[in-house]
Amino acid sequence: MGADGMGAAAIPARDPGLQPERTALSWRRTIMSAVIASLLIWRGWALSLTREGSADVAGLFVPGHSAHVIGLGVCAVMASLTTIVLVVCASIRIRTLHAGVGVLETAGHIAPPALMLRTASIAIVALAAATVVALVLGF
Amino acid sequence: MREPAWRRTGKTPDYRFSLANERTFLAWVRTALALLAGAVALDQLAPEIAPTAIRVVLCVVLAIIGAVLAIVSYRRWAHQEQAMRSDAELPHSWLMLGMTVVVSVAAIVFAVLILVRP
Repeated sequence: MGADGMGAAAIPARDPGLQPERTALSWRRTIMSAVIASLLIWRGWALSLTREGSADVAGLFVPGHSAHVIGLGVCAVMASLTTIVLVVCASIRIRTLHAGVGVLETAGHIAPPALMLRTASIAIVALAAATVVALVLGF
Repeated sequence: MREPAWRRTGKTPDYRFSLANERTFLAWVRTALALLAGAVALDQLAPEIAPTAIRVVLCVVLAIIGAVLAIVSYRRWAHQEQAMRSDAELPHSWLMLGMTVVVSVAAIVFAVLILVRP
């Protein structure tokens, strides 16, 4: 207990404003938003499958689906891939942020890599593209 | 892709400002994701709000605004950090005014559609 207190005094592990924690939570909220957006596309695909009368899992692998259902399926898979990219970005970032302010400050690179934020932006553009294609195909 | 050249200019900003800038980026990204989710939800859950063609066009417009917003939020983040690195004034952004207009117009359009719905 005493040793812990000494360590905390030497390297402040926590910021009084909880800045890294708030930023990590912000990434988590972003993941949740992305999951909701992509689940809605999956819902549309599932609905179109049901209308074709192949809602059970076995029916999924029977050939003869319409181009419409296959198109929505591609959109759903695309949406999931973009969500996975966002989750990977977020989990790398959350791990870094949880190292604590002391470590982050001495490392000298507390801001995220530009590449990570660019990847996240591009993933959302790809999710938007999947959304537009799904909307045009119709649910 | 390497880190952009501006990342090595000026001084590294205080971590509180860096993280605040990152959180603002994420908040805009969530706004973009909300537009995408809203577009799909509207199309799936409120099919009677307008004739199919009009509804799909409105939803596609919302989704495209979401895509543009994702790109603009990255650019905004980069410009803010560049300003912090060179101790310059933070750049003025039309993003807030733009999104206020987008959200207001969307609210009015959908309110009218709900009111005139047979």
